[in-house]
Amino acid sequence: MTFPPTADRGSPLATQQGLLLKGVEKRLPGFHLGPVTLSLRPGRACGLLGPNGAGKTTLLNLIALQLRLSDGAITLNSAPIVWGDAAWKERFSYIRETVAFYDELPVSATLRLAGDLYQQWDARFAAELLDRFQLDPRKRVGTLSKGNKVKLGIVVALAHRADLVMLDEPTAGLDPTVRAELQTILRELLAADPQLIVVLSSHIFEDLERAADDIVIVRHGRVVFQDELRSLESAPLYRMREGYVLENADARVAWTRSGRVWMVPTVEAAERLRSFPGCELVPGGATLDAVYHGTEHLCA
Amino acid sequence: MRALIRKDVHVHRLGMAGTAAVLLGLPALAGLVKPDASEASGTSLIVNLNFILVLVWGDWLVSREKTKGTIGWLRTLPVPEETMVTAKVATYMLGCVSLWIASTVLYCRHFYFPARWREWVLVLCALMFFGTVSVCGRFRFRQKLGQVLPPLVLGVLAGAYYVLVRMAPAETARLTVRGMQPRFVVPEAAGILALSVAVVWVTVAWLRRAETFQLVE
Repeated sequence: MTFPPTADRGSPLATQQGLLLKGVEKRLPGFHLGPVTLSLRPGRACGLLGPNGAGKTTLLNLIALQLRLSDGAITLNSAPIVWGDAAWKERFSYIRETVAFYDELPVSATLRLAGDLYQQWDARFAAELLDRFQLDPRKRVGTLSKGNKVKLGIVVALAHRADLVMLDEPTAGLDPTVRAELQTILRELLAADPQLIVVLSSHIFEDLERAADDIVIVRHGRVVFQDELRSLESAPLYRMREGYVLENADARVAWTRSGRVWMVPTVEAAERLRSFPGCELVPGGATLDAVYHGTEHLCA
Repeated sequence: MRALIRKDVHVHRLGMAGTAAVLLGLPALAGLVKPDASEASGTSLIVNLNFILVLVWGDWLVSREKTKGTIGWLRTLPVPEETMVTAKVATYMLGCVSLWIASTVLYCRHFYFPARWREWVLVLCALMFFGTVSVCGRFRFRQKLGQVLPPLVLGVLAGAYYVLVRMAPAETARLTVRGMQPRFVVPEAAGILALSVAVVWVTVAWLRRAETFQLVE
């Protein structure tokens, strides 16, 4: 059973503001991403969730112009972003899972390099952030922990006033204290800059639950779920009796397991379905965990 | 571009300085071992060592970016591809020219100056060309081919010259002498440098189309 992405069904995420991916596709040997339609709104953090090889990094690479689109379009506030768009590179920052700065350079030289390459660079703000993150400018990048390298990436991103910060698995391999610190930093960034868009790809539910406003689940190269996290978590989860025939319009997301339909209903359908014979309210409601595992059964 | 050159100098300063020191030390060591060696054989050693370093440095400058993934970060920055390539070539040139001047002034200034200054200029141009091929080849190709390409080009050209010498020795010698005439040196040097520019141009054109996964190893 497959369902169209929620944005195609009039989700609040479907808006022209911010970064819009429309029918984005990438064909690689042995892998096909898309078509993906997705909207990333200013002032919000979008959590990308999906198993390894689902296409999360490919999606980020397409936005960061590291990969060429096979089809579709990406726009920022309706202005198209094209391959090699130097102006676009001024406006985003992409922090990969393996943060690849020059190990031999001190932190200060790394910032100087970035400052020389970006047209917009706020050196004073960079120094403030170094202080805030307790990064020693004299230390060589190669001696920094992964957490501190991610922080350095965030300093670079913010000091050049990026509109979009993409973090690909930034917390993988970090201890809980550093992860919690990064979650706090991301929340603070968004609170400080209402124009900033953050995209956070992670396997760790807790990170996304704490840092993200919107959740996008990617599986097998397709977006199988996207919605606001808060509205998802306050939504009910229904398990329907056997033989129930699903109406697409009733569900924000639905899947089958053990011969029964499980669904997170739309707001409109929730009341109606509650009185539906054979509809059972699952205790705990629609957690991210339940929806994530449920979506395994959408495309399998 | 200056920022990228400064970065490369910082990142590679130890490796480049170390190998340059070896190059500058080896002829002195050879002089101690064989004090009666002719100046011509000493010059030949200097030229060969310079050519070896050309291939090593060109490879280093780009390989490090590709294997450590830093080229992936560079590609997310607003750095035009032409700046990326020309900065590497310029860093290489900086090292190559400095080393050629230092090594020849130290060990074979009487061989080249004043009589053979034209040869000195043309060897320097050849070093610059092969360094450019080495840098650009490493951008364009993966490690195995990228490392083999410059010696291959060098070998093919040297082989062609050798074949010419064997087949038509008199004619080749006459052409060589003619090529060293003052009026031909400037166009020849300009030709070699133009070829280097063409190699850079082709590499930039490819790099503009390339996706980052094609660059990271």
